[in-house]
Amino acid sequence: MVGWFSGVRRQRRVAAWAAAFLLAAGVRVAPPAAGATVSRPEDMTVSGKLTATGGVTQVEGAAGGGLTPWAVIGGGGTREEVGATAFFTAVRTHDYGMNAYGALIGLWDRVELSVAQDRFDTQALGGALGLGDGYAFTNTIAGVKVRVAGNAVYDQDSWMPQLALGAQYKSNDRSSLVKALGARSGDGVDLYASATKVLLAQSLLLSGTVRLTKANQTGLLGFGGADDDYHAELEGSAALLLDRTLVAGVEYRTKPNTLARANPGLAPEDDWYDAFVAWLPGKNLAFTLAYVNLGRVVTPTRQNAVYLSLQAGF
Amino acid sequence: MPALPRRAALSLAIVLLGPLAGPLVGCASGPSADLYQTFGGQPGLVALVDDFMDGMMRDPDLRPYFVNANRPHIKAELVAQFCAILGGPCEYKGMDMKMAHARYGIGDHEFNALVQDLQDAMDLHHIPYRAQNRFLAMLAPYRDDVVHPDPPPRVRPPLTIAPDAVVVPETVPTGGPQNKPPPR
Repeated sequence: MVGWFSGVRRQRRVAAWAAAFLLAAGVRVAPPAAGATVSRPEDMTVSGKLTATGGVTQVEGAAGGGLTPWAVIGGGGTREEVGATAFFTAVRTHDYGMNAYGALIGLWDRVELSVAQDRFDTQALGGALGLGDGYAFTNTIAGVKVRVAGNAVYDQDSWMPQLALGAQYKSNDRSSLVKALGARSGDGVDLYASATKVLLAQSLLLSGTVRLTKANQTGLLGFGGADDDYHAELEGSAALLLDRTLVAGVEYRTKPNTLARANPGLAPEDDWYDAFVAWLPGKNLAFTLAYVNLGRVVTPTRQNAVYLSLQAGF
Repeated sequence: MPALPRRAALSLAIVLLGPLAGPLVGCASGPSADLYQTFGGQPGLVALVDDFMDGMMRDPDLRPYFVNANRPHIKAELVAQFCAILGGPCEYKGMDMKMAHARYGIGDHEFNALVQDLQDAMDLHHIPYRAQNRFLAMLAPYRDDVVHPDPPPRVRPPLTIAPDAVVVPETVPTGGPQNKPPPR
């Protein structure tokens, strides 16, 4: 999301390790075609995309809003460039704390590869539940997203949004406990399709995602429960571009609630929603502050959370 | 906080979304005389384009494309084009955008740099952010005409004589007109 068209400058610092990454992946970067009458730099350039067009990072590590992925490719690179970002997010409710961190690399505005780790800390409630104070669930997520069609920002003469398909492999480090609670598995794969559109004349961004998932609380409580089926869940974001560095919006994310149907001892899983403000003082930096309602998580208390996120680009 | 049923939470989200949907219906898009006036009419556009070109000449990404160009002419064309796009009483009669840019091998990076320099110029002239975006929304589709990351290599005709067939004497000055009569 975000301060969108601002502070675009060529960044070369990341070129060396980005190139190493590409070599490791066995990908050959072709130099731009020679022969232009005005000489363009022959080396690969990095991170020339307009700010905000890569979004910030959602809790599972994909570029998007705070809760849900967008169809945009993160990292700020254009079709000729690669880019990378890293993020740290802290979520605090009355009972729980969650820290998430990770990084992503965007390749030629086409492919996004991401890794993230979400650590959900039960704090004192863990002791009350018999798990021990500060008992934590850690979910490690590897994601891939591919832009299939469209450009969210530039296709202003049509209603065609930017479309992307993505997958997130998630692995929970407490698989024996979540299975004891009724989950079928400690790891799983989410598949999603996203459509994102910037309505520039209205300074408005809209994004919607359909996610096929078995995850309980995004995977923090394992996968499957009363059934082991994929459930189609809807996620959406709407954001206003307030100025070149400020974006405010809301998000909603539905959840499948399969674990509580298998284990009546657990409170039902609720949808998540938030209201956020993101500030992008420069192209490579984003701060997001949000109020998030996580609904009931294990206990009947509704969890109102403060969400703070920092993203840095390279 | 009492437990909200799922449907109530969803309607709360819709209520939150309501104010955001407002601009969709309330805000006009496309060219209009009032948008042209927001940009200061003809004098405003001339001043804006002056600063826009100055900004691009300071931008290392864009300077090479303009340093040897006829900038007064380009600026006049930009004023006419911006005026026509915004809804002013002008007609753009300049070169087709695709023709004008095809041979330069312009990439997304350069196009984005241009957009940013235009935003900087509009900020300098205190054009409201919403009006800027309405203008940019109409400019954005030109990206497909301007950006050609991989231009075809220029084909040179094959040489019909050996490259060293003509030897230019060292005494002949280079650069100036070559057909002046020799001084007597």
